[in-house]
Amino acid sequence: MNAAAFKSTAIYTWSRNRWALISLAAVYAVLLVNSLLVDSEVATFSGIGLLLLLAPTFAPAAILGTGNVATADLLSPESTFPKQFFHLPATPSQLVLPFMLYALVLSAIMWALSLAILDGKLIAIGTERSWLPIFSMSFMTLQQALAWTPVTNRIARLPQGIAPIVAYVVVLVAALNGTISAGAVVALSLMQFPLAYAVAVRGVARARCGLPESEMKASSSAAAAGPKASSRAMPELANPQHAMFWMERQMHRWVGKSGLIALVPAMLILIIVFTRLGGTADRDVEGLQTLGGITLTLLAITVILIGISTGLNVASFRPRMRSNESEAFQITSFLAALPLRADDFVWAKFKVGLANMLWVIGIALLVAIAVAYVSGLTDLWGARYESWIQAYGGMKAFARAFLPLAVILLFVLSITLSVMWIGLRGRGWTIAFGVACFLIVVAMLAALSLNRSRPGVISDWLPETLWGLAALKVVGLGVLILRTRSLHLLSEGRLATILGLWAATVAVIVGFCAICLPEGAVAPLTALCTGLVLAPVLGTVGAPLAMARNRVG
Amino acid sequence: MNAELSTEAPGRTAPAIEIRNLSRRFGGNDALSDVSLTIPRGVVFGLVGTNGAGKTTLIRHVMGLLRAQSGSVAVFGLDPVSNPTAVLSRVGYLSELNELPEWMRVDELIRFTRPFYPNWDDSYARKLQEMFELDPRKRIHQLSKGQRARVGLVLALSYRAELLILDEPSSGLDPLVRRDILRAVIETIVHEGRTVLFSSHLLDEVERVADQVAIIHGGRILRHDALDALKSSYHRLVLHFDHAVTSPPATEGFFNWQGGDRHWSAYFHGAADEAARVTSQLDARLVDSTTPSLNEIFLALVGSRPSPEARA
Repeated sequence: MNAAAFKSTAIYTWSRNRWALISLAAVYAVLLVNSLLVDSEVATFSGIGLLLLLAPTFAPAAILGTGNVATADLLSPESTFPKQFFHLPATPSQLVLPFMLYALVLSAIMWALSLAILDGKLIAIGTERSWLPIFSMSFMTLQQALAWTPVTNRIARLPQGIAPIVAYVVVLVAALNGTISAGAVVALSLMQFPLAYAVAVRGVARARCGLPESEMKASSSAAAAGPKASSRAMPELANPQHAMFWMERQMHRWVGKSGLIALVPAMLILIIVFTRLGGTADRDVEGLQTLGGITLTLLAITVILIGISTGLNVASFRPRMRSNESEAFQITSFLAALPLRADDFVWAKFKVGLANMLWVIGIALLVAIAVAYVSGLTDLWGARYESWIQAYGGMKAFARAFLPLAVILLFVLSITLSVMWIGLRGRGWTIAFGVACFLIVVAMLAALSLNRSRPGVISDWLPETLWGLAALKVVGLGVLILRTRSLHLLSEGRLATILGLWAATVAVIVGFCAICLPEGAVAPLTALCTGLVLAPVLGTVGAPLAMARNRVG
Repeated sequence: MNAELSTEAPGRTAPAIEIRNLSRRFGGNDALSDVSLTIPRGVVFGLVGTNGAGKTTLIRHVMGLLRAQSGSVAVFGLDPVSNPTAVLSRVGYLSELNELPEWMRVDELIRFTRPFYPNWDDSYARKLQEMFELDPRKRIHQLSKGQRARVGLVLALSYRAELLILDEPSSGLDPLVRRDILRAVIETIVHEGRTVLFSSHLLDEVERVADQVAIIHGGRILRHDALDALKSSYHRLVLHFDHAVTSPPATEGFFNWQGGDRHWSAYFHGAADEAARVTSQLDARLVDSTTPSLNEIFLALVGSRPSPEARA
């Protein structure tokens, strides 16, 4: 049976995740080729370097932990272990083992590739910190086991997830400080594997025989059904648009399920707090500031990822989506039969997505300010700002300080709206397609980032590439506008709002290039084309078309 | 409010539904092949067929939830795909899936649905709620399948839609809910000028309420007629041949032969006297002739044809 279980698991995993795995392979291939072609000294603390070290921990857990990658719904009280396997004639241990081993193999391959790309350097900690891969793999395996264990209430997922994270952070800090030896970290990590295996087997056994179902019945069925609509009095719904907006707000009010994407910056914030409390900060002010900088970078990336996740979630017509559910984005027959135009459906979703993201951005800003203060970055920034005022004057200094922030904010809002088309298309494969596109863009940016100090294969042709892409995008936008207008899918007012947001994003990016980059570094035309290419708009204009296609097969 | 809803409903004289040469393929399978149907206003139209015959695909085209690949669909003279709000505001729809928002309470769902329909009748909605004994405080996910169907029915009926489309509404439901659905159909007929398109494979229900019937199989309309005319055009015959026959004769009008040796039964499509005349030419004696039920006609017609998969 064991061989059969391994074979079934391999077929299932490939069938379910082929696009994610292919995309992952493509990203690594691009980065590997890039690192081979260009003899570059990789900035060890660069965001890409960090991503390459974090990816082997989180990607296999998401892919083979059978979590819902697309929507990042990690707080489900149910076991995420695929239920199809429960009917197979195998014991829980036989079911669990292949998934765990495949995840470990994938993680090991990714670690090897990451190290190859980073020339063997481990985030500025040198080869003596080679315990990191085994440490991260034990963390991943434990998280995977916990995700397969059903709980009676989704709130129980929080302590269940946070407790091991805190434990791992404490060990990590201690190991980095040298309080715990490398051998001890490896031994501790190795001890987690049998523990994780036992937890996973017990969790899958409980989920298989529906043991917690009776306890879960009340809480889980309500949770599966979605939000509590009557927690606030239902307003008088004056017209269809108002009614649809109310429904969307009820269905997608909670973005907290995407909040676990913030796990990585949260871990770093914990490290900063521990370091500060432990008095290490007084000895190594620069180190703490560097850590603060990394945390803020990751916080920005996290907000962008939450924007993408929110866009996908809000695009669905169901309050909750299960993993790999091809119908998750299909409009329900009840809603499809309502006499409402496609753009009215989309507009309600846009408004809810934007409102949710404004909350997320607000909270992220408060957290960022706190991190900057605790890590001592505010002192550094204050001094730098003073020097900018001396060098460029008050207005330009202000623009240099706040334009990057404005770029990120507008980009987050635009991308939240723009990715909705992926979900609104109503087909499961579009998620994989979207993820693949996103990963390829990340890979390209990563390649550029690694080569930014030296001309490379990609950066040599960057201006011309940007001009071409901008021209293509403008033509594509024109075609999309004509198409949506001819089908009466977008009113003048709504189109003007979308184009206004796009223009604002483009203007801020161009302003950033003109003011923040060294004089003459980017030609005005290239800056404009960069803005045109980077500011998302096609998905926003195309969303009503996607909605119409979703409704009318 | 959409402009389309406030303008006077177009196509006052157009039939409720007019389908011309409609075809639809999903991948390599023909879901609908050259379907033509006209459903006049004020009739109860029964669409019957086996699972996968094409009933739901046809209804989804009528609702504007599928775009015609070839041919055309008009509802009250309007294309339902390009005029979704104008068409859907005049159509009440209850589907087998009945995917109501699980998290809403019954009263919230009713209040949510009301703004979409200018003709919403609050008192009628309340009357239906009481008739179906629906607890307005209950959430949809707390309701049984039958109660959900009743909620769907309240939503489909409360704005007194000109066209009521019921797609396998009673599938998997208990007799009490089926009775409620039939009662709703009859109630709708009482209101003059209203039309009902009723798809089902429960033929006794269709037989009880339908004025016209279409039998669909493998994406094609096999028969379409007034129910009485359809039933009177089929005869179930028992024949006694003068000598033993190994296979029944392939004679026009006869189908679905069963039996052996000298004793055979068959269905005949045509006039009753024509059946007697043709029988005499077959060297056989007509022992018995009965008018079959819709169920028997359906089984004979569909059972005598290869399934679409077998044809493929």
